[in-house]
Amino acid sequence: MDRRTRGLYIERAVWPIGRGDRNFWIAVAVLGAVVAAGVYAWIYQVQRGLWVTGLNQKVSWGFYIINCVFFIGISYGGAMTSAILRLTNAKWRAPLTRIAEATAVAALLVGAVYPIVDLGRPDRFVNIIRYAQIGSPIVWDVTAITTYMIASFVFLYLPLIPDLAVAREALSLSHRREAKLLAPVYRFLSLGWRGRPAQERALARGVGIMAVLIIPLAVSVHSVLAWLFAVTVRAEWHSTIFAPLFVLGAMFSGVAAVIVVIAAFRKVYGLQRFIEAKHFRYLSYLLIALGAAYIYFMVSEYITDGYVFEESTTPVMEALFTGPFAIAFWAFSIGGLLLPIVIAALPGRFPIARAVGASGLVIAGMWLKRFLIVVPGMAEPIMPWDWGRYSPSWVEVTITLGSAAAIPLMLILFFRFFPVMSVHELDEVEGRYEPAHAPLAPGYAPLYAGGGGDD
Amino acid sequence: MTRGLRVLIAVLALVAATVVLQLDLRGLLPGQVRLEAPNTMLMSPPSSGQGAPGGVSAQRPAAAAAPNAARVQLRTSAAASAPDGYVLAASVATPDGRPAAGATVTFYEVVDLLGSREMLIDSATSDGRGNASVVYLPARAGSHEIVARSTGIAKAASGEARSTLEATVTAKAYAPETPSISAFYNAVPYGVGLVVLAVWLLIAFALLGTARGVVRGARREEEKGVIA
Amino acid sequence: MPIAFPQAEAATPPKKKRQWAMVIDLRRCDGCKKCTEACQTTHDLPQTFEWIKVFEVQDKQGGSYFMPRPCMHCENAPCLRVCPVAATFKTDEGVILVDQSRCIGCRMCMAACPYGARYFNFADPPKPPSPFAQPTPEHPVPQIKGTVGKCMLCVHNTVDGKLPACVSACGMQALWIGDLVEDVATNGTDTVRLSSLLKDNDAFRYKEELGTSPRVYYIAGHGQALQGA
Repeated sequence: MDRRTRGLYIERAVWPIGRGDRNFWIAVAVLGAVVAAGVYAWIYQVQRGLWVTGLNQKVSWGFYIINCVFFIGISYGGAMTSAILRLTNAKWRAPLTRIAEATAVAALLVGAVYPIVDLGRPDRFVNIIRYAQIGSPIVWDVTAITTYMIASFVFLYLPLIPDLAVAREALSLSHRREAKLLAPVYRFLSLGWRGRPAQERALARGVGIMAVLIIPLAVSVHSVLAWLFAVTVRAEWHSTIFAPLFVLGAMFSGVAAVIVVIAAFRKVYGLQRFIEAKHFRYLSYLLIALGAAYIYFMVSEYITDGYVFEESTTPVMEALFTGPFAIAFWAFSIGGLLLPIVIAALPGRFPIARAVGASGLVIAGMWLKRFLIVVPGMAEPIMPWDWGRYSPSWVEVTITLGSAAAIPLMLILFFRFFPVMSVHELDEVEGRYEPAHAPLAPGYAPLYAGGGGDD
Repeated sequence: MTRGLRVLIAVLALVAATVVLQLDLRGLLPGQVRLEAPNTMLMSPPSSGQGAPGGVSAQRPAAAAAPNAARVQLRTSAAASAPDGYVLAASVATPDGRPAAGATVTFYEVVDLLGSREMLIDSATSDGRGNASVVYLPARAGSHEIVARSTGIAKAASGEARSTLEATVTAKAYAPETPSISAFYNAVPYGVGLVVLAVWLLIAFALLGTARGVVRGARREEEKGVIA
Repeated sequence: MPIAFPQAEAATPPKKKRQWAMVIDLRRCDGCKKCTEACQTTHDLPQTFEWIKVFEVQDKQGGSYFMPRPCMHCENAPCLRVCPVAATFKTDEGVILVDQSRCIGCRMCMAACPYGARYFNFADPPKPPSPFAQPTPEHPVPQIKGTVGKCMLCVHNTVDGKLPACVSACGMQALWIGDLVEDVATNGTDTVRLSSLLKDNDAFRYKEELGTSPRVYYIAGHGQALQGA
């Protein structure tokens, strides 16, 4: 990468900071309105009680639990993508990791709210800490999600430190009022980063620890979420494969979400020069591999349960394959699993459009899959004579839409304040880092005068 | 004094008492109690050598029996061993005093379960000498109030007798069903807790250690800058 | 967790420690649902709350029978283990109770219960007769919105020496309440030895294979005369 390209990279990464154009405000207004509708629906529910939902005595878990698993799954994919690319030292990761990490945090913030939305008495949420009973999967969930959330924030923040220094320098050139307000914040958050060897060592160690740690943490979060179901005696849930199936499903949907978010920011922020078709192709490979593994896990699950006509599992199998859930099941299996793999795997033109299309199908399909786990598992007759019914109310639908809109809203706002692509990582993979003599590489020079050169 | 002698004296005393009772209240309280020592009376006490419990307790006639009620007398054995239990023996006689064969004698225990109730123990049919007995192994130690009631004697109303059983040997007591590995389960959370603690410490180290390294690195450079 | 019954202790000082159990004689049940009605009256429950629910079971041979299902009060209760705040607890008499003033309404216990015995209060319960009623785990009347409730074997009755509402309401004498310690059971009319009742009638526990060790036993059949009792 030559000096000019590098300069352009930095310019592209930092130009939106502190700015708002018309499209930005329109996006914020539209997404904000949807989020506000979701918040209104939640307040409506808190004031009246859970009877405003479609939940009932038989199916007492519904959209909220589905969404909790779904959004935390997406978060997991973001964190894993970034961590895997870092640990395998993939050279092409530089423009992607920041978006993946931010997606992880945004989706996690949404997913982590859902257990509280689902509570009959959200006012007593603190009881989980006051009277924590360590044998309960709910307590495991709260512990694992809290730990993972802290870790995701740290994992987002640490690689951001050098880029905050870049943003700090970039803002120092500007004379806009926003810049005057933001500059001290960046100065504080960047901890006086100058790119010194000691600083680089400290940073590399911290990011290394977090990249290694985030993988078992994410695995633990999704395993614990799976155990929420698997430790019950309900036939569809009580399965040893549940934890790995959840982990894999989370990665699958998460990588798909990362592809979509990256494509969106690529277009809106004009990053086409740096996020190229090859990035989407590589991510598609990851998506295909995860999808194939998911098919394998699913086949393993259903052949074990379905080969023998056990009285406990057969009704669920029937309901899924030919019964009331058949449409959703086959829509997921074909439209959300096989079709995206084929679309993404085919060679040929439009790699980006195909990757994004496949990812969209995967995201929708994986939501449907969570629906197919939670609702038939609940509706299944445990006293073996009555099936439950469930159809969500407007409250649940509105809260779901609002929470889904909250993720792009958070990402848009976040990337109006922080560099969308990691500059420091680019230097790392491009080998342009020469700390002793040039704390700020020459490519920075056209952007701001007076930065660096203090040795 | 041997146990047998004591029992004999007690039996004689009771027989005397019932005779007196019969004389005084002839025709009014026909359901009086006659004592008969069942075979089990000869059983030796448990080898544990606990003092011989009084095998015979106060027996009393039914308070309000019909004039033509069958005569029943009840005796509980003093000793028992699991799983056999104590013998409850009744002898039944017709209202005019002849042994009643083929009568159904039902044995109850008076219990307090959400109110005073008569718990069915078992029933037996009397033999040619009017004897009927069942074996009862109570669930708890202590005294048990036993009732024997006879039915099925022609032209006689049911008669009953009561006695107290002092049980020292009991059936297997209730024990909660606890899975054998629950002790192991109880230890698991501590191990998991340690792992969680280690993870939190590691995250704190990654965050604070990096921050410290970056801040110090910057300071060192400033100092160097001053020196330069 | 021990629970105290202060008034009861004052009334009957040497109170026996019971281990409550229930026996349901399916041969006698005629599906009249008097037990359900009595339960709902006693606990001020809405119609949809069937803490003891009577299922009409169709077997594969074309026969059918009625099966009342209260809370099984499992010794190894799944609901107890999954509760994050220990709002569900077991008394020292083996009854599983819910402390609705602590319950957060996560409904994990409903997912865990293999018998569907738990009911979530989506809405406020019907108005209680007394405005001063203070719900306690032992007398959860009225129910609290947003929390889970279930059959609590009428501990408010048994502590006063009264039969559970369903047992005394059953005209068929199909429901028995018993004490495993004293080994005695009564259906209000007859009183028998609990172990004999179970043994002589080949009683079974529903979903025994799950290892929950229920305290509720069933005697199979439909309409046969009761033997051994």
